[in-house]
Amino acid sequence: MGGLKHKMTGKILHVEDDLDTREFVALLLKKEGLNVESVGDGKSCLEKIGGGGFELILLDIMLPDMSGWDIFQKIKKMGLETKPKVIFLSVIPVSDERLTILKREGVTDYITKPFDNKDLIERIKKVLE
Amino acid sequence: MKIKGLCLVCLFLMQTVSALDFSNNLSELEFITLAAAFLVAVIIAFIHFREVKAKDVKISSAQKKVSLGIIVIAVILIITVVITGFQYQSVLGDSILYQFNRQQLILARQTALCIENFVLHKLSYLEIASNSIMISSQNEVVGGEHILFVYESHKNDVDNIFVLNSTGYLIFIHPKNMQNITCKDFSFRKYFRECRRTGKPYVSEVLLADGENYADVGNNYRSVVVAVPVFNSSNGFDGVLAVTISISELNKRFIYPVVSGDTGYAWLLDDKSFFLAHYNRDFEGEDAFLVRQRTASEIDFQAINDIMREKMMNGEEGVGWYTSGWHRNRTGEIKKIIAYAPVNLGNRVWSVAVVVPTEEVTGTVNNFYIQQQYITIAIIAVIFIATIGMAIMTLKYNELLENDVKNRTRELEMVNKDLKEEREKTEKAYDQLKEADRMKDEFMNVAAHELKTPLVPIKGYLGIMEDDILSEGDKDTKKIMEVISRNIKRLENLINDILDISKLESGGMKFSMERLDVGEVIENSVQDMASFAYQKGLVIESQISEGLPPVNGDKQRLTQVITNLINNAIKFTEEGSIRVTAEERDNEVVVSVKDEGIGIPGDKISNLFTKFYQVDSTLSRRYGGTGLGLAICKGIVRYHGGRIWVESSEGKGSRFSFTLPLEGKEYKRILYAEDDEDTRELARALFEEGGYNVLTVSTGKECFRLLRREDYDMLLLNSMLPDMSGWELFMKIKKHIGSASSMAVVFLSMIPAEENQIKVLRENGISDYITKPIDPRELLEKINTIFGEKKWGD
Repeated sequence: MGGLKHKMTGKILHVEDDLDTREFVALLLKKEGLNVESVGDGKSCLEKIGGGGFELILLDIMLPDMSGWDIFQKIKKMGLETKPKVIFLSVIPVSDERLTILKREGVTDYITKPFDNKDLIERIKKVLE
Repeated sequence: MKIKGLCLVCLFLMQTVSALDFSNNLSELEFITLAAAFLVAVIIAFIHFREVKAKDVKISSAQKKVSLGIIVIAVILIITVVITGFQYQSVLGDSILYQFNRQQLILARQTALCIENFVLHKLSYLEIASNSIMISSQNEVVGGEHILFVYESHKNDVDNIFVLNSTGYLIFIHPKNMQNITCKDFSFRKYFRECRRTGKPYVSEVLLADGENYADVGNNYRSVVVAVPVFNSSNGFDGVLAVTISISELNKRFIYPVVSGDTGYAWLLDDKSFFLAHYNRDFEGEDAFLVRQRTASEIDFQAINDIMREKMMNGEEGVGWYTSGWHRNRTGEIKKIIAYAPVNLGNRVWSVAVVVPTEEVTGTVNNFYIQQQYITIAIIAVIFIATIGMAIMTLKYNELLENDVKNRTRELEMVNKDLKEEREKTEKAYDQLKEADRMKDEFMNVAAHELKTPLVPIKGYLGIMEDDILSEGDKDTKKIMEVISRNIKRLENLINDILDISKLESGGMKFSMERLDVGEVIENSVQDMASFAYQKGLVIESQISEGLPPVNGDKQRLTQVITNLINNAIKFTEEGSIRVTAEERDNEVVVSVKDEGIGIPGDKISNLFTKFYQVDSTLSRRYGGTGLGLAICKGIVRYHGGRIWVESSEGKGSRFSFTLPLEGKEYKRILYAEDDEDTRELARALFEEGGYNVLTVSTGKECFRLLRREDYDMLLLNSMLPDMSGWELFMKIKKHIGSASSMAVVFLSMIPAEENQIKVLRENGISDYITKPIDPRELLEKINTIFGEKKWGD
């Protein structure tokens, strides 16, 4: 499993409209030695992903130009070689029922904001492994 | 048009059939009838399919079968009618013909008999007279007065009476209307010689006047001489007494008057096959065979010749038929019936024939036939039209039905127009309401977003700082960080609680119900809270009854309730234990959290579940908490159809309990629409005490919206609400919310209603009408009664 870890790019894209939150998450992940890039809206998010190479998307649901759910659907249709995994980050709590549906649709995880730093890092690392 | 054409076809066929002689056998008729019926069927089928094709009507196979059945029955009926008709015609025709033949024969016989009598009568007179006269040797007739007597007796029938002497000389004649005849020799006459030879009376053949030059009677004078011998006293032949009978007189008297039918006539044939009398006078005196040969065709000649030669000439009587080429007033062949009888004159036999064209007999029959045919055709036409009508009706049944439905629909549409407009208005209002609802949901999400977003970086950075500080170890900063951290946590809790309570109150909280094990939920909650309890040196015990049945609930939300109750227990307990229990009681699961804390003063208990209520505001600062937790718990429990309450004694501890109904036992849910707040709250407290789950609303709109979302067992409806009347609201619910039909609806009104008004209300689905003011306990009893009735009704 260790060998596999090195082959991965480990690149993370964080999509978040709130600048403070964006910078904080970037700092937090970098301190953990993770490779993270940040964008503030759906449009630039899709551009970045179109360039390829991302392994994980941390996706806010309430964005100024489009919803995180729309972005997720568009990523699914992009036809990328390796599809990035997606974790939703949102202030809106999710029910178990809804989470099951989301996971069936291909969403990797759903983290409610505000989150616990350690919890977030743990779940990200789990996905990247 | 088609029917007319068909009738014509039928008529044509019928005419063809009836024109056939009844001597044809019946099977031929049957065949033709069948063919006709078949043709009719084909035509009907043709029309049928054209009709169907043209209209492009969808027809069920049952309809096809029925219409086919009708046609088959009709065809069978037509065949029956036609065959019966023909059979009847045939029998009748035979019978009429038989009767007619008999009649003709009798006529012929009678005529013959008359002639016979006529002649023989003369003969007997002559025989009597012959015995009374004597012929002297001087050729004198002795007893001439007897001869004259005979003449006088038959003056009208007899031309002359005369006496020939034994050598054939005329010695006496009366009247003496002929010159130079006396003493003429008539011994060449056969009658003289036959009389002399046989000594018996004799009727002569027909004698023509030609040979005798009786200029005064014309060339055509023909006569028969009836002669009797005269004997002398020694029985020796003495001469002949005779009369002359004119044939024309005979004819006038016996043959010409014979009329049979319209054009039938008689003729007389002598033993030498000469016409003595005939309707056509030119034939008289001619050989019948030669006449026939001249006038008839080969075959007909044969037929009449056979009859004449073999029957008439042999003195037989009978009936036959032949075809004649001649007929009065017309040409062409015609069939004739001939009846013949012999005229026996002793030494010779003549024959009388009565002839009638068959046409006259068949004419009678045919007249009857034609009448019968009209009736038959009329019957067939009726059957036919009825059949077509029925078949088309059957086939068009769908179309007719459709038309009916269309008309009915049009009427209904007109009636419904107003209702539709009203519905559109209501729907518009409902859409607005839905939009408002959606906006509220959106607002809640945005509020959550806005409230929580600032917390994310604050909390996050704080976490990073805490880690840094922990590793570097500055004590003061560490403390400061702890305070900040705690307050952030508190703020986060507050935000979550506010959002929850808002959602609960607006009905916007989403529950995902499932069958779950309460025990498991409790264990999870206890585990979550264990470390917190441990920090305070407390122990949480849980005691769950074995075999606890699963309940219907939202796992997350129930966990939230239990965790909240445990959290409270931990907060207000300084030492001791906390016990969480779950057991089945009265068909519900009762979950209790008991602590050994400070307890709650009795007067504060009733307000405990009200939001933002704190038993002691100083306590809140000491123990933390938003004052929303229990209100949220109550909301969640109530959604599950349960109750929540607290038992407490100050200083000894409290026990918070809530119930979750098991399947089959659910609290009846009552929705109470009442604008007066005091009444509302009073009633609500009372109903809850009575074991009902009550939700109150103050406006009609709110009431309608809630009914859209959830089912209730009963709707208590104040007759007047601020935005609409209770009745309006009821009609709206009835029209738009189908599931509400099973709901009991009770009207509450200040205005008393009369008996018959209540009856109308009941017919419209109102369970009861209660006049206010009413004692709340009485009201509760009434509600119990209604549910009781419903139960009995089930």
